[in-house]
Amino acid sequence: MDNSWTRNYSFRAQAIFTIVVSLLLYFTIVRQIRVRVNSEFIHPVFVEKAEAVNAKIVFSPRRVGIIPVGHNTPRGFGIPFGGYFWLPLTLFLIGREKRFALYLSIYHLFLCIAPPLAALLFMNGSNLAGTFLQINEMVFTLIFLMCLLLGINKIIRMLKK
Amino acid sequence: MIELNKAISNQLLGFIVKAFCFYAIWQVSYDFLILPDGRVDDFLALTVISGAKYLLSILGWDIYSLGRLIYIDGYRSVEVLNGCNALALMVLYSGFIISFNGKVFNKVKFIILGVFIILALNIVRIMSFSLATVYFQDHWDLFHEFSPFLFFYPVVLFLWYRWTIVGQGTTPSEPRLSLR
Repeated sequence: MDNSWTRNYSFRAQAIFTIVVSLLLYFTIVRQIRVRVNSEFIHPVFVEKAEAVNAKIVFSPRRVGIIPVGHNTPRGFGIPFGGYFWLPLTLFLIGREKRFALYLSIYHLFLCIAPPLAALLFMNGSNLAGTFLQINEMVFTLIFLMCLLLGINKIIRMLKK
Repeated sequence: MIELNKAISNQLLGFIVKAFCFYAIWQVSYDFLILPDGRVDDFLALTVISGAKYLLSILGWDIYSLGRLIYIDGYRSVEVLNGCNALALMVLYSGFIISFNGKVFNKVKFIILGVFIILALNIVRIMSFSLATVYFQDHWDLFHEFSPFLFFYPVVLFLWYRWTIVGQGTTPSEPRLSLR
């Protein structure tokens, strides 16, 4: 975003361009990929494992919910790199906060590994893993809202300049 | 405007660790004490139901409730489950205030204020869910999915932003923010 060609355009124009490209990318490609990855790879694996332990899997296009034996409400995880990633990432790109964008990307890579593993453990009866899944949901929302706060704050400062 | 981003960048890890510990302690307490007991969840759900019912009846709607269900005469009912009573959001909000720098007295004030605001917003949210069954039932799920963005997140962000100023005892023009 700090290339020479971008200097020819105003900050507002660059911001609008980034938002439009990001929205298009998300709704035309990323969202579909997430749905396919969940429905064709993640969901079938969890259904297969759930049958072995009599657990139930609650399917939604971009989320996996698990109800193990003895529980009545689902716990699970969302497929990473969704709207909660793209919206703050877009704000960071507009605000040229490369470091925060990198941290956010690393966090979502972590989300590709830890929550599915915890979900498998939860399905097999580990209550501690279920607790971890809930803590992860809270930290996930905290990080999303903090990123919005930081992103909006930076953009407002840049607009004031 | 304060150098929020630079300060958070420097103190990010400590802040996240503090918040994570707070949420871990909360979640363990919730899973092993509060959830099995059920009174906190029931209290919040029933408070929200009675608040929404009262306000909608003032507005002239024929509104009824049965336990955690609320419905307008002739339309589908709305159920306030544990996940919809905003308890998690209250804890999330409080976690930020507690993990961030600031005087204890100010923290307590901000937490109480924020929790009441979230409770009031949740009453409005449940009212809107009931009205959605009348006006746009077909889009109810979508409305439900995005309701936090309409009702909660803008207010929580504003309160957090205010806290980053009040908590530090600075004015927005003073660049002295830290997360320690």
